[in-house]
Amino acid sequence: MKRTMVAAAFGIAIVVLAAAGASLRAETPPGQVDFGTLSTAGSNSGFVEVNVPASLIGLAARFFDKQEPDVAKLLDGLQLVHVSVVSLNGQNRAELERRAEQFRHELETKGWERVVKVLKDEQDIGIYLKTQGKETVQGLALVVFAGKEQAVFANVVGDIRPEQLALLGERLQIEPLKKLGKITHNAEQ
Amino acid sequence: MVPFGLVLAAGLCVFGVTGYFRLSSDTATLRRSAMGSVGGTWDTKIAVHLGAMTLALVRTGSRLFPLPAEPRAALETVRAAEVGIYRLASESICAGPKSLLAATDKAMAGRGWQRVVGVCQEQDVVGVYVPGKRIGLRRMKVCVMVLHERDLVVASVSGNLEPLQALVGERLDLRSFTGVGASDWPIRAEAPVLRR
Repeated sequence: MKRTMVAAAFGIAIVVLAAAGASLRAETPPGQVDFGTLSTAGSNSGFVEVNVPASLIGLAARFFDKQEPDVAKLLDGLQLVHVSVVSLNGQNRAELERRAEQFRHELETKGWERVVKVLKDEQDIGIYLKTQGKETVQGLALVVFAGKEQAVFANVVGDIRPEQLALLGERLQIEPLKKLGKITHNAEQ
Repeated sequence: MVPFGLVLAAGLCVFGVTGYFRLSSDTATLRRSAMGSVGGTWDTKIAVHLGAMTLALVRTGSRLFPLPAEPRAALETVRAAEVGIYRLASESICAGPKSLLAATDKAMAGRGWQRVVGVCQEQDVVGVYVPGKRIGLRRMKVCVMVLHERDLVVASVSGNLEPLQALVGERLDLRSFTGVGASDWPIRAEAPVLRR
């Protein structure tokens, strides 16, 4: 009887530990932003979504580790790259602007720091960084309205800085990131 | 009385030959979920599957001939490939292209796949899926779905990316990158163009 009780207690402990481990693994990284399902805003709007998980980023890093160790190091420091580009039209513009404002507010209240704000030629670009201490970047988020045509929401989880966006876009072949990197660079100059 | 060995050999032959026209379970799931979401009846235009044995034969045969590095690397990389092309024969009952992606996402997620690219433009839809786990340079698989007007294409490729990596390593030209690099634009944490 006593042996059965000990075995049962041991079994329950294993189940509890496994559940705790699973919940820890499932925990969202601090640099990750949930933009929700942006593609559902506006029934006729076009959209492009790119979602590169850590496994694929690691794979890309292996392509560069000998010739471009800096790029490989940058990629190795990333856990997720998510980019959503939504075409704006009369149906979804107001909804997306409302959501963008909501995201900006959420980011600022959750300790994200706005490092770039550009309002130029109908472009509204906001770049936010989530940092831990002074050195470690945990994530980068972008909310962009490019004229009256497109809205871009992007989140890069991991150690990346805004000036590395174009390089990341180039190496992962994500066109919107390339463009954003160049736009922010030009605006800064 | 027909010998059992002969029946078995004939059965294996039939299975092997029909295998060229059978999609793998992952690609078939993608096809089924897409067709189910769009609705209507579909005509099969073509469904071809080239498996590991066939492509190994092609690789071995190709080594007898001199080939440029790029097609050689491509041949060495691909381990299995399949494609199915279907045409909608009746009217669609699809609620919209976005519901199609939602349906294929759900079906593929159930098999451990995740969507890495989704494109939706008017009635055209593209979805690219990769396995959530167990991928690496030596073991990579990609499933693609394209819906263009009334045509549905599903395809998948699996392969070993190491030959491709070697080629990229040889050909990578650092000077070709003209984007904005870290050295071009030093970050200024508190220097926005315009702040609210």
